[in-house]
Amino acid sequence: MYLLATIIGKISKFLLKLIHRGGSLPGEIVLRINKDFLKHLKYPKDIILVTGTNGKSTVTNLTYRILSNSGKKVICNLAGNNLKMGAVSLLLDNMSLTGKVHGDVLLLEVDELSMPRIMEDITPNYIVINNFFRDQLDRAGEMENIVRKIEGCVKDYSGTLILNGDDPSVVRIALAANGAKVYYYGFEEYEGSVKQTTEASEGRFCPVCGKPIEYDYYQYSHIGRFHHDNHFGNYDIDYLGSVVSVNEGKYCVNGEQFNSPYRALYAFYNELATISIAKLFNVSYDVIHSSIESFKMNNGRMEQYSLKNGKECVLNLAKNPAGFNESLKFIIQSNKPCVVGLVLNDLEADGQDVSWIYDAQMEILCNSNIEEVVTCGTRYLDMALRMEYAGYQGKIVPILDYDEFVAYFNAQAKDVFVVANYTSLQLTRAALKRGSL
Amino acid sequence: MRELTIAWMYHDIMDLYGDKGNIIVFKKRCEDRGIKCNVVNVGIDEPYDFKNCDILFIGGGADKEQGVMYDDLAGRKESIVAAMNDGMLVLLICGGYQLFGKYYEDADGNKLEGLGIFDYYTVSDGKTRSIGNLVVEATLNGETIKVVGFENHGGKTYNVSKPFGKVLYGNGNEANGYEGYFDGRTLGTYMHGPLLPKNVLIADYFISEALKRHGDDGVLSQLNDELSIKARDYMIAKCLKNK
Repeated sequence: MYLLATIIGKISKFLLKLIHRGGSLPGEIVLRINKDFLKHLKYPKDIILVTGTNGKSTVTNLTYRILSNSGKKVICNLAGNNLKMGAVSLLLDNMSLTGKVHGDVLLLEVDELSMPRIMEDITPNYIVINNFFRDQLDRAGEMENIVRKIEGCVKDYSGTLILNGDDPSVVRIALAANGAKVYYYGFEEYEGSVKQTTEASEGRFCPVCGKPIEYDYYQYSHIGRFHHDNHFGNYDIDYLGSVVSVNEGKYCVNGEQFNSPYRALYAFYNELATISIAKLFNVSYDVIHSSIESFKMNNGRMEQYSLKNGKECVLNLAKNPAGFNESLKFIIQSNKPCVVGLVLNDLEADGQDVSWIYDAQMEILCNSNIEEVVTCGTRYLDMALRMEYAGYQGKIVPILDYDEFVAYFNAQAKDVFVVANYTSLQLTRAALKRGSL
Repeated sequence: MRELTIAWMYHDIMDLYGDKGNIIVFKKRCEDRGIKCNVVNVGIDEPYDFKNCDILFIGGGADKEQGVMYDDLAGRKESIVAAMNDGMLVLLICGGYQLFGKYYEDADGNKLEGLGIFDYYTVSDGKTRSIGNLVVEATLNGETIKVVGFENHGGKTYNVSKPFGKVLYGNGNEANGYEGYFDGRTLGTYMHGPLLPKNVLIADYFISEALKRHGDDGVLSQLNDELSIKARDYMIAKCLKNK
């Protein structure tokens, strides 16, 4: 059955390529024929899984870049097909008929809900977890369910865990993985850290005793330095970052200075995760520096467009309160008059429940450099209403059609910042491309 | 100056589904009319006398965190019931709604006692979950209105003596065609969304009734609700079309 599945999978891949289609359909077909397909393969020595709520794709893409630049052949789902069938599709392209996967490293971005299904079949030696935020509650359930699922995955895991040591829910995973070697990364307190947070937060209770945990400081959302008595949060950070300047994109890690292509702390965390992996693979600082400095994720991650009216437009993906808040903070950093576009879809992959926009701090846009807010997407009216209830005094313009949305920007002589959620991102990108030079 | 007070209970725990949007709406609709709106956050172990409260509000929380606040809530029952007898209004969403009933029984038959202020009770089979948009036809101030929200609950609520409304789309209490509990002073509902931004008649009902407690005529000036009504009608039409 295994060989049959492989051959059919490879043929379907080839046929789909002829009609310029890819994606995870071949993987789906293969899993129908042989659900244990992934169990039969002979994998490279190093397998890295990257999971968590926000920043998975960026961490995966940047890690791919660094490891490739260091001379390794890396097999990776760069386009983010992060469910089990996506992994199968990827491997079909990179294996022999006997099931030997080519390459030195298999690097997989894995949807957090798919971790149990992937780990049934593939045993990684590195697992990277960047953060857990509330996200798509109607699809994924409460964050607690996700954390518990991943705790279940690592019960017998004996490889290496690379964890964000500033996220209490991520650190919980280390408590469940008795056999694992754990490395933590995190950033020291900096000028933007705060003592109290008003942002929606998770993991407020100590996993050991159930009492509320205490924070020395918060970086953003519930990311920060926390502890409870002597039994939770007491460990050294192995890869310790210190922010030099967010606006200049500079930070140090264990004394070495890095220049980020981004100007936001959450982006530094993504890079820090990657630097931690790279150092564990003994990649030289030269390779890491050059890989990070020239890194552009595009695909709606701080992606830049030049509009037809000559103005700049930046597009960023945000699909949950934590991601949204960080985008909003970035927007108000510049003091230039600016128009903001907010795109909100409620398709199945987004989560049909858009309540979370009330957990995001849209109030940040009030009394700022933002002169108008234009909304789009299937829930454009809800987003406009959210701005009205935020007490936003500027003009609020709801527009359902994407091309009219972009045309509106082109009719203004101002820079634009657009935040779009999951399924609306590619539609927004397409419209922005049509409306750009 | 006209003035009312809202006790927002467990604001830091029962805040999972954007239910804080309801507080944002109460505040804004009061402030836009020159009504002073005091919001008091009542957390675990924080002393509070509900004698001073016009509207008690509890949102929905994560299962684990709901367990953390239960003992605290139970300890306040006397003060809450006394205030309710004195005309305090109560708005309960999802987990908050369930907690005011007799009990919550999980899939293994474990019963978590509720406050027992109302006779309804909630049972979860651990398998089915009601998740999706919810449209209800209800009566408020003698007027028939349509209300839209989003439900996401594992338990079914039975024995509701006074349902809030008839379900036009979605599940509601027990998929029997009814949703929520409403007796004129207390509204318990599964509707997140959050409830109030698109259903401003409910917000104004609470504000008006709260003011009347202080000898006020409760008459509210008209606000510009064009966007809210449009957003509500758009969602209702979308749901009913998919039926």
